[in-house]
This record gives sequence, C-alpha cells and structure tokens, in this order.
Amino acid sequence: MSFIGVIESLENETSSLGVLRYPTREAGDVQITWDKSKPDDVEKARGIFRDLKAKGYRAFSGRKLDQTLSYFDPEVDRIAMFPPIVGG
Amino acid sequence: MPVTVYGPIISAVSTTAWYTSTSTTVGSLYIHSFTCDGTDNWDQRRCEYERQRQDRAVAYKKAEDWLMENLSDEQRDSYSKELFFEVIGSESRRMYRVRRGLSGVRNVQEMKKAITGRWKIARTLCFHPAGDLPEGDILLTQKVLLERDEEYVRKVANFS
Repeated sequence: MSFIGVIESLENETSSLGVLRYPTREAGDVQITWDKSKPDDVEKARGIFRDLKAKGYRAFSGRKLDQTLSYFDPEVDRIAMFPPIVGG
Repeated sequence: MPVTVYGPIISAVSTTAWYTSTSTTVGSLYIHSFTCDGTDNWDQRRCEYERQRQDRAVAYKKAEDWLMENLSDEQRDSYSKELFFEVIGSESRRMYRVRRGLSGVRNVQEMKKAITGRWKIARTLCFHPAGDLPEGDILLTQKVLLERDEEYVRKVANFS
C-alpha cells in the first residue's frame, strides 16, 4: 500500500468510540463519549441528542462538520451540536 | 482549595488576608494560584467569585481551542493574524467575514467585490447563538451555520 493509501485508510478508519460535543456557558464545550458496542452508552448519548434537538440545537457530523444530522446515528464518530440563533 | 486562574497579565504576586496566592507567567499566559482559607463568609464569597471567574476563563480557552480545531488552514491563518476569518455561504456562495472581539454582536459582514476588484462590506449581519456562550463558541456556531445552513441564518439575522 502506498503512503497516500495508508493515510487514506487511517482517515477512513472508524473508531469504536463516538463523541458528541456542544457548547455551554459554564464549561465551554461539553463532550459526551459513547462506546458503540455498549447499548447503555449509546442510549445515554441518544437521550442527550434528543434533549438538545428538542431545544432547537442543530447537529452536524463529519471531520469538517459538513453533514447535517436530523437524527442520532450511533455509528458516527463525531457529532457537534449548536444552539439555535437569535437576531441581534 | 487550590484554584488556578487564567487571565491577562495584571500582577506578578499578590497576598491578602483572605487568600494566599502565587502567580507565574508562561509565555503570554498569566497563571494565578491561590488557596481559600474559608475563615468567614466574605472569604467564601470571594473564593466563589474567583472559582466562577476561573471556570469562565477555562470555558473561553476551551471554546477558542474548539474553534481553532474547526477552522481551515486559511481561516486559522487569517484569524491569528487579523482576528477575522472568511466563510462562503452554503446556498448563495456569498462571502462573509466573521470577526472576533465584538462578542457576537454585529460581527459578521457580508462582503462584495467592488468594480476595482477589492472586497468591501455590503452589509452587516447581527445574529448569535442563544445563551451567553464564550466567544469562540459564538464564532464557531456562526461559521458552521453560514457554511451549512445559510438560509436559516439569513431568515433569523438582522441586517444593517
């Protein structure tokens, strides 16, 4: 495998852990991590995702946060959620 | 209880009746540690205030780090040198300049190219995420939403 091929395979490698991040006033961004093989972990993360969605947060995934998520996908490695915006 | 405070460089060492402290400077980062002795309520209030100030400073640092992680090389370079970065709107392909230092108030400028070929400010947008978030988180929210859901931003933002 070429050097580029190795880099690409590393980039495409999926992790066994997923991370959900969202900003808060008190603590900066909060990170929720779940083990994809543990249903309890997944359900806990799904619950937080749902709560934030209910508050109007928008979810994005992907290395460059370039995909919009409308539902929780436990297989995704990285999710970022942002609060609704208001006009100033 | 040891507390470390990150903030601007304001003094080297300070000691008062209600806490003892030591301060050091690492690069441009001022690190201030003190120990609350908790002898009366005033002490406790001051300690609580300092703890909150510390938490806020840590939140600002984390938010700044998260923003930097998500900027492209070009955006990061511009942000470091000029305190703004540029994004392209997801639908219109308009260019927006997102500025630091205004706490998310009227800090996004819609740019347009003048006849001379230079970029100039067409309009200013005012929108920010709900909640009193650290500035790094405000800028990251503005960036991601402009790049991924520009239509939503333009519906909510006020223009001037």
